Amino acid sequence: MAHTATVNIEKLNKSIQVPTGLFINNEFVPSVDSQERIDAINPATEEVICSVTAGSAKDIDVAVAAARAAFTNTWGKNVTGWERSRLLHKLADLMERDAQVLGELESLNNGKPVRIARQVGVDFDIGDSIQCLRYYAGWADKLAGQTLEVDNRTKLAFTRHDPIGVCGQIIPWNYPINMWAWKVAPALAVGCTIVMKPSELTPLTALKLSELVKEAGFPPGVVNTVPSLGSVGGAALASHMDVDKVAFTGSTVTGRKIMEAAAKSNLKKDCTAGSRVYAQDTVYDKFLELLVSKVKAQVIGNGLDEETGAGPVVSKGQYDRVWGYIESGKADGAHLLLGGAKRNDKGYFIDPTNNNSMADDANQCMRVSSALEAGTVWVNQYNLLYNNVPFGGKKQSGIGRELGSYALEEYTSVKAVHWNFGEKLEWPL
Amino acid sequence: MPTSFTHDFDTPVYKGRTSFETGLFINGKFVDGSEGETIDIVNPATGKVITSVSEGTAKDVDIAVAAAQEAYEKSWGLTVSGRERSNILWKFAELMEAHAKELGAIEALNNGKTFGWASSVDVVFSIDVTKYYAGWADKVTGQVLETNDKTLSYTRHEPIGVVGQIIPWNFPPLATGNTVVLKPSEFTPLSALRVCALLNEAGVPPGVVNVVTGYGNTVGEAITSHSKIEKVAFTGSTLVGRKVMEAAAKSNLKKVTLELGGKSPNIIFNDADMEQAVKWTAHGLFWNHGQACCAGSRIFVQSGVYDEFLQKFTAKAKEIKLGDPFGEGVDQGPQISQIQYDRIMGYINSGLTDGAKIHLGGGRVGTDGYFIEPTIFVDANPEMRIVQEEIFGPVGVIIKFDNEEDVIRQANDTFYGLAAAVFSKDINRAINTANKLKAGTVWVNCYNTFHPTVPFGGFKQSGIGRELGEYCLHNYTNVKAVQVNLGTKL
Repeated sequence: MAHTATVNIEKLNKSIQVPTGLFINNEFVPSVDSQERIDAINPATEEVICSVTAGSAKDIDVAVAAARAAFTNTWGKNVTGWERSRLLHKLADLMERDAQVLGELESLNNGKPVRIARQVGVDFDIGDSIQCLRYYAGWADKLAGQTLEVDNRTKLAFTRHDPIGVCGQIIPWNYPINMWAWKVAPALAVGCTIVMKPSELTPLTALKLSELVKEAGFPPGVVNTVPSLGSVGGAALASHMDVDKVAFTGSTVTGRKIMEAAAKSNLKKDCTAGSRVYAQDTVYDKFLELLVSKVKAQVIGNGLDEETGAGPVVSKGQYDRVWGYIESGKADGAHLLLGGAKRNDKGYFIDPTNNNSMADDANQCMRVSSALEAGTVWVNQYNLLYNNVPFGGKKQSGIGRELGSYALEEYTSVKAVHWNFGEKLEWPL
Repeated sequence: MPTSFTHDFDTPVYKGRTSFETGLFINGKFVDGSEGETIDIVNPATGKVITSVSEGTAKDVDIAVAAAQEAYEKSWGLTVSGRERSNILWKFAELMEAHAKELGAIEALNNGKTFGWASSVDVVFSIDVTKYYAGWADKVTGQVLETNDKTLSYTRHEPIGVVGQIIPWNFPPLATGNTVVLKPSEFTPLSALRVCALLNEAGVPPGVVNVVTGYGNTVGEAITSHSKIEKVAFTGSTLVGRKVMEAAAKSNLKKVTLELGGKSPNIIFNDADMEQAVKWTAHGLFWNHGQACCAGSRIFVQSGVYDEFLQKFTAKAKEIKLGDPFGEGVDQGPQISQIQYDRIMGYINSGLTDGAKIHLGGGRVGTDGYFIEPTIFVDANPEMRIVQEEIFGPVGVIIKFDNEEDVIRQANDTFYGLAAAVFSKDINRAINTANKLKAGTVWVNCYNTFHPTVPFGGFKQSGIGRELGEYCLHNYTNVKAVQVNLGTKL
């Protein structure tokens, strides 16, 4: 039974083949015990694009077993950093080749504009994801332990930076391809195997990328993809006894549940978009004027339109949630500068809504950035991320860091080896 | 009109055509030397001239440096991100990979090493090293250092600027953002010139890499004493290494790294795995026809296994097949040049004169080309020139020893310190001995294994600095500390 769907993109007059089975051991397979499906919805039209297999807890078992076998036999310590590097570069090459298709699929399922999803070589989703893969490909053969002085005459102590093992990875819907790259690249670079649960809202690009994983030459079981409901697949991964580590990006509420379920596992949580803007009183009016005019210039529309700068929100659930906040803001007496009115046509579109009330002084910048308790502080810029700069939260925004060399540590297990080559023991002491 | 070289290979192991320009490569173009002279390039397997290349002069070095400086300021250096440099270097490595056999053939023709070794080891290793450093380009990090809460202190690891390379490797300086003026050996410039076209194709901006072929006392001298070159890296003899360092000191105190000669000891204990020891020792001595700085040319064998080792090692050496580098089943080609040939034969004669005994070889093979038999000396004493000085040919000395302490003392009794090896099944003894040997690389139960990740370089007069691995990056970065005062008022 073929597990593909043909997805038509009317606006661009073409169709894409999308695999719809569970990707386990380099094959797309049905669920072992469930007939459930997940509908992938186009948030610009509210229509179903296609349906994919919904993984069950049993399917997670199968995927974990595949990942474990691969870790023990064909990946992990069975493969050199050099080989891992080569495969990651190959995967990046394939993403580059298929950037157009991936971008369109992303736009269709997530709503973000296609030109933002697709641009290669620029700091936008796919271009950035490709560079992320290449960045970590470059680390794969540079993972060094240390030699440590204990007693130079008789002892050799050193560390090995081993891969942790089987990693469960749970990614969100806001940057499907980008989040996929951020998770997959460092884990594979270090030698871990993966069971990936993409968001049930945006499973399509993760499945398409799985085809590329196989084409690049990764052995079966190294990367497994199981679209599933969070409460089913996500919960199963978080509590699975044979998963050595869980990485999660999403809400703080869910993050707590994962950590509870995980017991021994490590985990990550969500980033938040900056939604509270503080402007100092002397520049407040000028700032607002500039901000409103910039926001008005943004074209909100269907992602597959080349003109569009911002698309719909991803789902009905999100749409209702965001409107709930806008209404409560109005009810609490905040002054709406912009937007706040629902559109009448189809699609989960929310026009930019702005409720109200650029530092040259470097000393002030430094003082403030030092005092702010956040994992990333942007000074005179925002939302710019680079593959070699770590990203992650303080306090209840998260545990651990992604990107940069710091991400490697999350997937590494340090082993210390003590080698006695000269001390002779008398016993009893 | 810049020179060029076209050659059709029609050999048992490789058939193909190569065609490339052989002028100086400056600012992305091939040009004549400013005096219009050329250098003849000889095939050491036949002793015959195969082509000529442009000869550079001090004036050409000036032009190249100016191009490198401009490129550093405008199109490389700190104007180009590590990620971009990484992508370009990766592309260059892939181009070399596409031309690997051709490059191997050029190397075999010009250098005399066998086509098999050249294409599947040398060229492949170069590609691996390029890819390795491409991966480093966007990972050169500084530090943020704790001082006090009114100060932000951090370091930047900046590229140095224009660097002079009298050495085969290009990639570490490029990865960290430097621009390069490179002088290949005047004997073997062909493969360096062939890859210049690949640099252009990979998108390396003009002027970032410049290649000036020429002689040591003209082009080499001009590079080492140039006031606008901030660093020089040299691979070659200790004798010339000194001159490089002197010239650097006398000119602008440019930074110097040197990768020089060696007389590396290979210690075989009674409890060594004999069969493996014999094979690795042969590889350690005869690889590249003995023309390796780290060759294990002093072979110390413990008395309990001396006779057995000598017999087996001699038999192994006899298996080495000499011949044309493009012949089937050939293991060893000619030495590189007449000069080298004469030098090696000179050492062999001095060994005889000093009273050592030739156990195997010692003579020329054939009449054309610079072929020397694998040669083994025994019954030598430490004062002899063949034991003290670097021969750089397929000539080894075997020395018997009894006592562990004494062999370590003998092994270290040299002003060189490039490499060493220990063969023993007792790993504790092996590690213990390795710790005591004064050498930049110690091989345990192996010899002449290299990896892009592992640093290589000498103790003592074998050199300064390390190549390969992360360590190499230090040679090509300038550390700048920035201390930002956030509120201390005087």
